[in-house]
Amino acid sequence: MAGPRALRGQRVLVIGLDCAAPRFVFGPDPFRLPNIRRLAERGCWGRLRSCDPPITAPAWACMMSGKDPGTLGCYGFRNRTDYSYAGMAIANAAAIREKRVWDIVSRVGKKVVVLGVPQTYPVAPVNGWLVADFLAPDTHAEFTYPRGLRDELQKAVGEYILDVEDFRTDDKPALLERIYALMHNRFDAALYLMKSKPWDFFMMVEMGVDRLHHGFWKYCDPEHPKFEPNNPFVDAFRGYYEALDVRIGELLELAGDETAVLVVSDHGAKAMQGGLCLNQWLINEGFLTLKERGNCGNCGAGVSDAHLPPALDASQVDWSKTKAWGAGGYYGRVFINVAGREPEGIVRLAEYESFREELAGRIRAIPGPMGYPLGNVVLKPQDVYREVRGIPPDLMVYFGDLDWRAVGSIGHRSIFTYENDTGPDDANHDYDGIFIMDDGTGRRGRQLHKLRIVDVAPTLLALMGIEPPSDMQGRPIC
Amino acid sequence: MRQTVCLQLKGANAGEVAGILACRLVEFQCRAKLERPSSAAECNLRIATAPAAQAAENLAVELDAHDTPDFAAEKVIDILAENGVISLPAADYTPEEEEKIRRRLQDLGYIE
Repeated sequence: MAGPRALRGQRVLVIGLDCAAPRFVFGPDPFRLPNIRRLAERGCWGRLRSCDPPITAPAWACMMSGKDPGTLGCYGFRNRTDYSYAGMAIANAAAIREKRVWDIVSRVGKKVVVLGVPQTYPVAPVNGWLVADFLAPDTHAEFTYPRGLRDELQKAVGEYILDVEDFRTDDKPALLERIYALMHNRFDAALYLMKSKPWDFFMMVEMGVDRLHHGFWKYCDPEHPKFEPNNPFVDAFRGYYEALDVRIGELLELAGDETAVLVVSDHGAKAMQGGLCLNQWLINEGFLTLKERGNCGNCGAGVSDAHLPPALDASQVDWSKTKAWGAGGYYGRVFINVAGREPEGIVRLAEYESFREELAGRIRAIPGPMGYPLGNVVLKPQDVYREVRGIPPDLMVYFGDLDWRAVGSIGHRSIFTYENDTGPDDANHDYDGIFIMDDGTGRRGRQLHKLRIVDVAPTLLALMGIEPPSDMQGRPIC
Repeated sequence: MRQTVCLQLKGANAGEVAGILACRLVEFQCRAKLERPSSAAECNLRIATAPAAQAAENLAVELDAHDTPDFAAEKVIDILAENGVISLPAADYTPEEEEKIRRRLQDLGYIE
């Protein structure tokens, strides 16, 4: 009987599922996903630790470059461009200067197909075909390489859907329909490209899982604080994941047994308990001072949707009396107003580290709404990255170890809020995504541990018989 | 004043790559004229550069047989840019596009 067939130097297919959570795929009570399960049983699998921060940008770029956010100089979807108070830029493909797997594969003459991978707009030439991500303004933009692929895709699969529209709607049935439409559109495009183009490396990322989690977690997780039994969407997660598995099966059949296959996600997800108002806390503690008081701070109990507190604007701040300010999102960023660095900085450089340490300690100690420790995680970029490029936040904060979102708006009576400023959002990200690999070497369902997101790129290159660059920070997963 | 650069392409698909290049170079305000190929694997393009270009006179590029013709053409464009024949545009959003993306990211919860 022939032994397991090594697939080194063969074709590689990567199926990326943004935000796919280990609990739904691996268990303890996984959904019924026969195609994904078969891959895991033939190959190997495990939880994949995301980067810091565990956010779509820069997580996919970290995964595909084998380098951490510090080396990429990318700490989220928007990053400071300079030390002014408002200079921010969206981190699209132009922000990623390090070579990613498809760049390296292209340069050695192998053909690539890249579909919907975050941070690929604006498009850069590849030795093959590339369809960019939701950072393309719309489908009138040049979101494919080569240019002509746009019309070709339109003829083959109809209008290409970059992302779910009107995500913050309360019309949940319509939202769920649009998430399904996104998934099917993506897989239709993938199947078309897989059939019609010669490829050695094929990668697609499906964003619907992330949109599903954020839009529907409270309906599906009995432990979510807003869960109501017998709601009409209680099986939304199960139904979606199982439909996804069917589409994955189509890709696997087309790819064939000779292809090494990976199914990965960039981070996981969990129930969101609420939001912690970072800038409001900084104001309350005296670290941030506004020019004028009274902006919604004395409203009645709670904040209604009709009267949302304003987002913090640089023009509202009295910088001469402000030591730090923050930015919200799935994680919190804190920036220190440093003399000689920021235009009106007041924290002297000689005191910067001690102040940063003090602030980090104070943030870590913020208790929850009932007075119990929240377990906030506070990171200094210099402590977690190999090197720090660009302008990182001075502190990175995971409130409640990512149980709580960071909210940047001001004028809240309490630092805890249970309504998102921009609309319903039920989930936050979590540290671990998924990793499944069947490379034809007969691993028979081996579970792997301590997998890191930066290990994926060198693994992919090794599968294709390409020596990973020495500056990649991960190691091939074996 | 326009300069003339003679670009010699050698390798598989030279003719096809030259054709793609001739179309692409219009975007960089260049006019390219295909010259009669001297062999199946060689093709010359005579490029009249944009007025502001400060270019080298002649360039020869060896094409990689494993590249798609489009990718090969893009590699040549990079070489032309490195040699001052063309200037690559910055890939920035317009203010309207940036606002559209900012709102999309805000709507999706990534930023505020």
